[in-house]
Amino acid sequence: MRVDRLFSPIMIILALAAFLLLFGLDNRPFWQDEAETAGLAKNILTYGVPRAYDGLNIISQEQGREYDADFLWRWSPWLQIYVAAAAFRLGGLTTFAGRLPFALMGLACIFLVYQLVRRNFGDRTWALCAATLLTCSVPFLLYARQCRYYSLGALFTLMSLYAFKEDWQSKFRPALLLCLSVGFLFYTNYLLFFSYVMPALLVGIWLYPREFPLKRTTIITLATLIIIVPGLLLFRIQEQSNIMNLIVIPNNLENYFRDLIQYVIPLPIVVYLLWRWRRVFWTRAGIPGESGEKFILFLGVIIVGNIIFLSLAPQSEHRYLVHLYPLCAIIVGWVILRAWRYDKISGVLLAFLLFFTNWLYLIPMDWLQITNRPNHTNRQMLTYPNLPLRLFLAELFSPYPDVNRNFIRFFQTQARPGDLILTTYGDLPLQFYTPFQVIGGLQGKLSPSRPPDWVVSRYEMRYNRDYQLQDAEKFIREKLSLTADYQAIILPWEDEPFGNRADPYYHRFVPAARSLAQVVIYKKLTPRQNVP
Amino acid sequence: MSLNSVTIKKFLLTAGLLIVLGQGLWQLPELQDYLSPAESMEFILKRASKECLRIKDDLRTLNERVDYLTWFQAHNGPDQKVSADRLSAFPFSESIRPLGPRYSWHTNIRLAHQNRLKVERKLRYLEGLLKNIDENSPVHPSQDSPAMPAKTAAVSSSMKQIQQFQDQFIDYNAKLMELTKQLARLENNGYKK
Repeated sequence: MRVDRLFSPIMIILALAAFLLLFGLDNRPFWQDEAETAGLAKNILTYGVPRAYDGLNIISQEQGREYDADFLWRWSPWLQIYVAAAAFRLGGLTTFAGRLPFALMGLACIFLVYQLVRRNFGDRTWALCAATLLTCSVPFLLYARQCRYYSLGALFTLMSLYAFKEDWQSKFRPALLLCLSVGFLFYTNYLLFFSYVMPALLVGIWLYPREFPLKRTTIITLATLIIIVPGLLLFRIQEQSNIMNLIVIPNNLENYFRDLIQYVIPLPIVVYLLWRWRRVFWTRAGIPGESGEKFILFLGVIIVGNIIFLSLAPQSEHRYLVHLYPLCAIIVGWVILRAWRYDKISGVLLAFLLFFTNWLYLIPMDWLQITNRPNHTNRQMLTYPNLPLRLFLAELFSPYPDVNRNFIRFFQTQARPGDLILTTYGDLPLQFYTPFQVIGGLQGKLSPSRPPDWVVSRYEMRYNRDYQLQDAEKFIREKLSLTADYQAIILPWEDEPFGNRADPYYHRFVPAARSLAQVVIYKKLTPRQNVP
Repeated sequence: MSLNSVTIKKFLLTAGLLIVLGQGLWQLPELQDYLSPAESMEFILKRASKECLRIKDDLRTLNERVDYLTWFQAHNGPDQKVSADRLSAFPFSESIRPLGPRYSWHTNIRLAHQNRLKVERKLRYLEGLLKNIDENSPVHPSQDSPAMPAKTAAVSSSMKQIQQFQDQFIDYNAKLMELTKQLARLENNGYKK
């Protein structure tokens, strides 16, 4: 390889991205959701399929609705679980191995953003800008470093766009890529599939009507349907749609749009684009003629459509927006370039604000008093004006033992073989990292054959979908007498709600200056200790 | 003229970005921590005060929702006309009530529970915040003994505020319990039609 190619700007960006995505990947253990994927992947190595029960522990966060009598996992698609299983097979049952393939897919997303822009619009600066934006996006980095489907979803979304911009109408390979990427997106997460594919198809037909030959479009649609049909039958989509509630839609819409402007596209840029495209919505003559801007409009309308579809689902979670981060990076990169071409000083200022700070996201929202800043957040989090990369690097270089790490260490050293642990949350990391039977969490009804040897009543209370206390909480309150039968061990660590959750509303880079609650673990008293 | 307008636009764009830059620098956590340390009593009191206001708001919303549900249950006859009074408070729920009373009922019950949970979580946070006041701090109630030397004005004022928050906490908790009971009663009686 020639030296100038090795040190080309994109190689430097990719090297930086690789460092940010891979360094200290196992600093913190899996948190609850990651441990669900990892636990199922571990079971694949034994049974060949994702089973929720391994003979000792049950993996569930939906009161047992995720599996049948045979414990076969039927709640969420299997692709992420098989990816993690393959990584465990190659790298052993470690945190690093579990997260590695997903981090590499995050890296692939950054390269694909560059390639998509450069190849189709021939603008290297725009391509570099977009790739840099995605590299500097701390929420994206956090999600890509999880043993979960997030980067997988982003990668398939980008691949489908890449294939769409190739000559899929007459060539076989782009058509196959389009079909597979959309099909695999379904097996990554069907909510992403439904929310992305429909708007993308409709917006594509609206903006590029001549690029949809009927025969080829029908073939690709049918082929995609053939790919997803087994999944439609296997996964319990209907059961999840039962919990849909029309009245939450306005609230979901508000949450998603607020999240979008708080972390992905700053409000001033949204306003600028809306103003720029104001005529598009009334007349076709308003559709930009220049191919780059037309593509930006295409992405922008897909994002809006995607959010409208997403808001139909019962829960609104920031993680369902992760596959849109690369699309937004392409849009924002284009805006930076326009600003630079319009006025050099403004271009530099805008690039600085967007690459290195979250000020352009949060400060205008603060002016309008629409920032979402839940009470548990603090100044060292992404909900406050910050230098996100500095926070992220602080986490990489000065990792602190999070709540899951502390629990794992405690039980690894204190519990004895055969002990039974009951916890109100964080059961899945304990199941993955320790050899003990762990019950409770969000598993649903409890009927242990004997009183648990250890009880962890987490500070943050958890409720089920009917807004009732989780069964584990109820069991502790109604069936156990912690004061009489257990010894309370107060430990000097904070009882954080989640641990390594990537969600920008919850992710802690450094420990809180003042902890809200300390961890209390209850140890069962032996009959001798129990004598008054 | 045209050149002037472009120059003005450029100036405004740069100025806007500079304002954001300036405010961002001013709000840097390091600087803010230096100016008002997160550990300080004032900071905790500010948070507690904010939280109390939020809880009060949410409790009011919950109260209104429970009232609406009580009224809803009492007016479940065949004549399902839209009530103008209720429409202003619950536009969506009230407009769909004549069309789908059962759906509207269940949705409102769900929303009331959502609201209840919100208050419960906030109360839990407030409880943590109040408990969290360093026990060695001069403003902590445990330090309030006759043997102690006279407290400074600032400390007494903080103590007074803490006491107020603790009273509010008890009051909010009682209100929440009452509304939870009412909600459970409404849910048990259900929508009969």
